[in-house]
Amino acid sequence: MNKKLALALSLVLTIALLLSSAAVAEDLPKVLYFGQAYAGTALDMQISTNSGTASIADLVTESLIRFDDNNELQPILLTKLPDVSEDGLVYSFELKEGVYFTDGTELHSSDVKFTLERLFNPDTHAGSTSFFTMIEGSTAILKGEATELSGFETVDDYHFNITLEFPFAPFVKNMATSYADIFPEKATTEAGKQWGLSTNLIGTGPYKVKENDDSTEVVLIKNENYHGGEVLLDEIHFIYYDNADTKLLAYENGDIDVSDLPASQLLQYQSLYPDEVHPYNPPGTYFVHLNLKNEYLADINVRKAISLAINREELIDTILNGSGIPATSFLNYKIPGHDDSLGVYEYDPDQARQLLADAGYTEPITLNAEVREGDALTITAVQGYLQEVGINLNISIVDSATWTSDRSAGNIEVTSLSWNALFPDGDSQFYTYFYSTAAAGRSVFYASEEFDQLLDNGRLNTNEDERAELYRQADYLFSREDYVAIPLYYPQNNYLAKPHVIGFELPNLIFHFWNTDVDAAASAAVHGN
Amino acid sequence: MSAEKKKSYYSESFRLFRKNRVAMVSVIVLLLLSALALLAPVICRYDPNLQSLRDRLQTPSAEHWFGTDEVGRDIFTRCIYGCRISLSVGIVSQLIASVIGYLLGVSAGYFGGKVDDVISFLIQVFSSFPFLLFAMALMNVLGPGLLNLYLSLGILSWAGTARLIRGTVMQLKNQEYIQACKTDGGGNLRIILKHLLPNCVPMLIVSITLGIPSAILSEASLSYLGLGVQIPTASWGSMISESQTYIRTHTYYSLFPGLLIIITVMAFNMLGDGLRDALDPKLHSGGSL
Repeated sequence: MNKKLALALSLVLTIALLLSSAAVAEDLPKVLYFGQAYAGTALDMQISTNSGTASIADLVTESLIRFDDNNELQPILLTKLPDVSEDGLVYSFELKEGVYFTDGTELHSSDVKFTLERLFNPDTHAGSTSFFTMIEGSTAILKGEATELSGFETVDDYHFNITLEFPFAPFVKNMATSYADIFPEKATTEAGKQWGLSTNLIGTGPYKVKENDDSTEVVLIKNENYHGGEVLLDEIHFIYYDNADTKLLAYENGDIDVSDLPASQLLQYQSLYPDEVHPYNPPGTYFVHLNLKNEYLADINVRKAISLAINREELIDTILNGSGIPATSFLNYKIPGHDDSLGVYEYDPDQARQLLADAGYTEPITLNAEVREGDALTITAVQGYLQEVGINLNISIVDSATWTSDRSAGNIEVTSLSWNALFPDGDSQFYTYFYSTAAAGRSVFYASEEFDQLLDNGRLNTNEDERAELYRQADYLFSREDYVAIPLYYPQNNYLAKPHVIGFELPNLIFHFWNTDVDAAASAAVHGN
Repeated sequence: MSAEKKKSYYSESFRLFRKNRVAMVSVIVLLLLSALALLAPVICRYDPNLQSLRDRLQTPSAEHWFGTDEVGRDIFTRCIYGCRISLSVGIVSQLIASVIGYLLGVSAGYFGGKVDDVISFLIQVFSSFPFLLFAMALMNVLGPGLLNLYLSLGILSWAGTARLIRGTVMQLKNQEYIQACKTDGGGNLRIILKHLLPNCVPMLIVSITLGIPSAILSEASLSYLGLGVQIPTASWGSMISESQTYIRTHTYYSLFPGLLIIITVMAFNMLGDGLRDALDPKLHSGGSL
């Protein structure tokens, strides 16, 4: 009798204990800490082109369609992908009903119209209008001749049509980028120039901005009424570290759960945390950016000599610890139009010296490079190669904000960076950086009618095979004839994630946490909550 | 002051200085460092900027005494060339500071009145500003580079010297021999350069010597922050900045430039202390100056 009682009691106690511990786990907030550099821009993806900004903004403001973690198109604010007319000019959209912005207003066709008109409004100074200038009437707004987008036809609150000036193959893909995030008309108008700063960012996304000091940290909090169902995390903290070493120490210290990992430290971290290092291959290219207005760089012989002076394979094997593929042209190998038959760029310092001598440079020439801290090691290696052939490279390291503004102002002579397409398409990788009008705003100043024509034709053509051929030609002209930029390698990037971070995927350069969860108990053990 | 007395003052100082062992050791250390800096191209087997990516991050060996850095440059060579930067920044910037400090200090002390008010105000402003912050702002405006380092550190560190000189000159200007020179029709310029300057020289020597280590540290700090010399020029500060990424795996890399900074700064400080004691007339056996 006593034994039975004891057994029953202990059973009750055990269950109670289990329940209470389960309750504790349930009560723990799920918080993810992510470290990245501050881009120096507002969280407004119409203005910013920075992937770091997009990593935050895309969780708050959503586009109608997006690429999921497998790079497949997925309707988000729409009931289905838009229908296209026979001639490829008119796209019909149907919005999901009952989608609310976090300020309580419902998403209507008018918000989409407002968003697009704001994008083209010259006062906005949008960074990526070229993704959408095929929309009828967009040019008129850009020129200040109109305020209404004539290619936008509102059918009712949930239906609208967009008419293009010409058939444009990747239109739906462009609408799936961060640059097409939909803003609420009322809140955006009220915020004015403050949109994207502080907590002035409201969208339909799974998270809302709780805190943002525009310099050190952004805290996102779960949107309880998210139209896409239950949101997994309670909070995401984006903590800014301009210095990569500090960021990695913060990761080791448990201050952040996810961080990107510079290739130079790959070996060290692979041995320290073998299960926490994850590789991914964004559709991009690491290249040396040259300003064609510079008196030396205007000379194709100098540009070619720079390319010949650099030993790409050695660079990857050594300072990158093997995480990269030597470039054969600018267009990344994942993008249709990439020419597999081209070999790796030749490394021939003697020929480089000869080219410079033939072009009349008997004395060493001096160029000035300005890079962000993350690019310092690569540009230092490049400086070493160039010194061998008689080109002195002075290097200044600046913060991201200074670099961005100097580049827009046309003041950068040489820099190096990774330029990634948002999705594998030649238009995406070339147009926004090197089309003559874009190149003028990025310290490149490349203006080739032939190249522009090829990109224009690529936009008009809807046949994917023919488009690939156009991009192959454009790529060859750009990379192998004009040597506009010096592609070094196709990067393999790496990131670190703590074991308690679950379901994290990185299909391109933007860190999205749509399907990411954390093991709250394990996380609490690390962060000591 | 008669020539004979001046000579005996300096020989007495020299005698006192030689007796100070710590100071003599510092002199030897600094002479050695200067010799290394001057003879860098002779001593070093490598070009300080010559890269060899395949030989990156090697530990110290017979081939590379201090190992190699992240792009395969010889750390020993870069340390020696960094010595050139540190010593030259220290000396040149302090010379600039002394010239400015002397001229302003002597003007303030000698002329007095409105001139003194304005210069004293400037001294207040320059010495109340956080030094490194001021230097960072100035380097931001001027841009990185060795010449700009000389200038900005020189422009920012004259205030202490000026204050010292001003006080001394205020005492000296009422001395009989200055008054005599004035009565004799001696111009202000003659008095300032011919009679006041020699009396300020010991003070200037000490302030230069004690100013050098702080200038070296400032250069290292600025280069560490990327505001000093331009990459790829080797500087101890920028080497430490570049090495911090590898501090756990390749400790020796940051160790050598760090040690050199410590040794140099300590040597200058001890030398300065020794000089101050040796040049102090109160400690001379022959009574006051």
